[in-house]
Amino acid sequence: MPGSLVLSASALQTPPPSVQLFQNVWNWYYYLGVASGAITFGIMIYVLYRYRARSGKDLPAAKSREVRETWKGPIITFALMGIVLAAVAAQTLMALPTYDNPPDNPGMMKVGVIGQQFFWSFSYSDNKTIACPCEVPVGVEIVFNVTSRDVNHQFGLPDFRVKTDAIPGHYNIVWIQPNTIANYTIQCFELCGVGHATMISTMAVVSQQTFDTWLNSTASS
Amino acid sequence: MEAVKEGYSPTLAWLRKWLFTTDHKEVGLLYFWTSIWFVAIGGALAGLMRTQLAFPAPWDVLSASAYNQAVSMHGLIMVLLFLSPLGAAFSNYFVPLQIGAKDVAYPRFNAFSYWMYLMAGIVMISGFFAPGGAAQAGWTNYAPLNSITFSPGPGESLVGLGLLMLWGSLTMGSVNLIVTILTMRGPGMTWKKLPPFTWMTLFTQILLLFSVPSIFAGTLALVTDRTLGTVFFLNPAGSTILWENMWWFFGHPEVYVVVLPAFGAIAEVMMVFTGRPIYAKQALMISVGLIMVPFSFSIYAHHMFLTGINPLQREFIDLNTEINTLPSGLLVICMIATAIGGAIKFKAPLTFALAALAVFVIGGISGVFDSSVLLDQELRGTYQVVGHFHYIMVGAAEFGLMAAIYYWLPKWTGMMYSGAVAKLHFITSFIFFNMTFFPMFYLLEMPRRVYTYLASTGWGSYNFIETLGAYGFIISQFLLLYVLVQAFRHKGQPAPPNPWKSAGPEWTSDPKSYIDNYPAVYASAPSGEHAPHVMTPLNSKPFTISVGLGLICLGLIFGWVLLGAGVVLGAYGIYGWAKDDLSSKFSMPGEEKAGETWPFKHDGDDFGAWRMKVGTWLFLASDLVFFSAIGGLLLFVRLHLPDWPAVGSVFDIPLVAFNTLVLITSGLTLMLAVQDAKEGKGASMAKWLVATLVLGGSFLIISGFEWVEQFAKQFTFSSGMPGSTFYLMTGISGAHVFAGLLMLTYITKKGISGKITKENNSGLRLFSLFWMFVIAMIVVLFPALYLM
Repeated sequence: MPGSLVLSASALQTPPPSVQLFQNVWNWYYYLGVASGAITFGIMIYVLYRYRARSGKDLPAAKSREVRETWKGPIITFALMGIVLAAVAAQTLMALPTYDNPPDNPGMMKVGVIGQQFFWSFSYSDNKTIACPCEVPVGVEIVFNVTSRDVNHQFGLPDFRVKTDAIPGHYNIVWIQPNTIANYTIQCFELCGVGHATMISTMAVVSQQTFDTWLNSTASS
Repeated sequence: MEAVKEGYSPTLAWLRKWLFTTDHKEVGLLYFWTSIWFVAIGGALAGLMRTQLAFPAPWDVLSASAYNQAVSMHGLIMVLLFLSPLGAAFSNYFVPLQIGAKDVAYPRFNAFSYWMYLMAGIVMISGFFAPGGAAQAGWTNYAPLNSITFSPGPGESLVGLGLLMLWGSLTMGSVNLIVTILTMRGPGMTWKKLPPFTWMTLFTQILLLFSVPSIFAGTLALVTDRTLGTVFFLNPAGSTILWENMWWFFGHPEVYVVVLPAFGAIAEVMMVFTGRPIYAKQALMISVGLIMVPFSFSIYAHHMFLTGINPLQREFIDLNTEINTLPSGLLVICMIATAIGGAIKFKAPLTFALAALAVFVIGGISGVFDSSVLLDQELRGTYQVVGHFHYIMVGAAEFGLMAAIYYWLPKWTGMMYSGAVAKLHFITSFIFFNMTFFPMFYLLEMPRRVYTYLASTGWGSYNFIETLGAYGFIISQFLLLYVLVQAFRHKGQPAPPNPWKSAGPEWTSDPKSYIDNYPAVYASAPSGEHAPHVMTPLNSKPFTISVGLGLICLGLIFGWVLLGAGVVLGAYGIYGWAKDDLSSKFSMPGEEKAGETWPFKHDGDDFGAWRMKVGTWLFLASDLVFFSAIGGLLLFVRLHLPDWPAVGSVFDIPLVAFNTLVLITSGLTLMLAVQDAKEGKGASMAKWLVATLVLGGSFLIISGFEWVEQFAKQFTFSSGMPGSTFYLMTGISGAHVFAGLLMLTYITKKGISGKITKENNSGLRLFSLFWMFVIAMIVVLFPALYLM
């Protein structure tokens, strides 16, 4: 990922769909953003150098209060910025439906996520809720239904580029499709009290067989 | 000077002057120095936080709770007690000078705004001395973490109470400055000639006027939750989403409130140090006024992308946010283009202005990333966002306001400062600022507001650099402090009257005499002539009332003694204010002639009355937003809570209907009083005024009876959402009626003593506007509350 060496998921071999979507949109914002910034700075530096005060040249103060109206410059500025902004906004709006709506996949797995001061639990069925660290099977589309039992939390899986608020009484959905067996960080991204910083846990993506064994052998909390 | 004559010792005279001043320049300086004190506290908290974050766990300087206090209070202090008041300091001081007015429209309210702001800050910060410490729910105070259940200590309550005072201060201040700019421009000061700083002040204050009422209502609900046991932010039907709507409806425009005065100053500085007029000023002001200001209200929900709000709304907000990038971009381009054809002199004010522009570009572009609903799902709540808004807040706003300090300091103090120290301050600030905040753009996975992190994350080295940068930035600000102290103590080189050879109208008066405003003449050559020595008189009431209100807030937490003292002091102050008015003790020095008065017609009233009329309408507009926020709150709760008591099952509808009728009748009697006043029938008018008082009082008594009745039926503040909304809405209506009755008592007394005449009755007419407004609000709200 340009501009960020720290997003560790770039080390994954085949990025999951959410990461691919994110990466594509990010690239548009990043390249156009850096280019716009560079052009603005270029103009700025040129103007400042070209019109620096040279000795002997001093403009009369009253001149600085003259009328200097034009609409051409502002319209051109709006048009150029408009093109760049429309280009990036289009990327967001095109990718958003896929990002938002889990594909209707018969093999998908629904997992409830519950945030509490200061830990996460995954709820696999009505009578099976397990405090994280938790496991999910590899290669399966997983739809998280996120809520909270006390205050606002934010359920974040940074490696998958997904995040949503965990709000008491509300249910928000995010989905992922993990395709690499590994341990992934779950972290809270909304200030939720003294334990906010340590409200970190792990989601292990494992083979279906390991997952089944784990689910059957772990008691509901 | 006046004070010395009356035989006070110099110290006492000095104290009296600064406590009781109502002069806009002195109030401006009070704002300035107070905001400097607050930034010292906010900066110290930032230093503590950066120290804690310098190394990964197990590095442990601050506990989690201490860190959360620091992070919450740092945000509140820097945004609300430092940056916006610093902008207000310049607006107070220079707007009247720039437009050629003798003072602001309501000097006493101006002083009142200042003292309310100071007391608000003291109340909020006093949380550090309360058991359990200061507020720790973040500067945004998200529900339900802000509730008594999850933040049981008094810190959060003190923040709520302090914020209430601050919202009062901001509302008064915005009405004041808007009226000043609308009605007090001197001859020749047309809209087209209005200097950019005054334009930006106008936009800023319009934003405040309409954004503050929303959070005023929200904070009120928070405070009643915490003190009386209502459940707005504990019940999931309200809670987070309700609070976030009310907070960000204010919170997002607040960003522009912070940035726009800085841009006004940048524009002034660009003109003076490049020698060229603002490029496309008209297009720029139109795009800020017609795009940035209204759109800033429509995009606040981009702070709520991840709360599960309607997807269509989210996409709409995303696009609106990007549209609102256009005027910001135009601001930067116009500032740069201003320099074309100029002779640029790189003096301290200009270097800071340019730095502000440069970092605003970075802050702005990084913000476009966050406007994307999709990218926000990764970036939200991370250090990328922290970097983004610090580039806007510290970078653009604070650097812009530092440009303002270096530009206007000679005008304030009559002293020049050392260019070398200023240059060193600039270089160190700019380098250390970027060193502190640029690495944050690389911390795309580090959550905000965490007090510690694991070494395995690899965030340590970035954080270490940031901490060093923060130390450097903090230390380099002592250079500014040195410059300020030298100048204000009149050490060093005296400044010529117009050291920058600026053509700005505020520079055409004598820099040393900050008592005199220059006579209202714009675009005439600077001359040595000064207006006669006039000064807005001293008045102790703004100070007294504010301290009273502050003590009441502190007393609610720290004990009944303070509360009692506060009530006595506040009541004494309000009584004194009215008494001053009755005896015409406080009046503005010499009425000036107005210049252009568009867009408000000034029809025959004297200027004071006309000003009051414009101010009253502005206040009512703000109050309308307040009632809308309350109505919106009710609607929100009803939409999210299908379970609601049937109509008539809880409330005594006939009684309420009768009571509403009583209030409507009081409107009728007041109208008759106004009619009599216009016809000069003093005795009959007084009778109708007394009748209005009796009817208004009856309304309050019957409402009180209704409350007692409901309480007896075990229907209390904490009876779920129905109880909470009922008591909040009737309470707010009752408070409006009560305030009206206080004013009416004063007016009735005036009427009985024959001071309301055929010619002089504007006070009564304006009061009738307010009274009709309150009746209209109650007539709209009550059916929604009782019959829905």
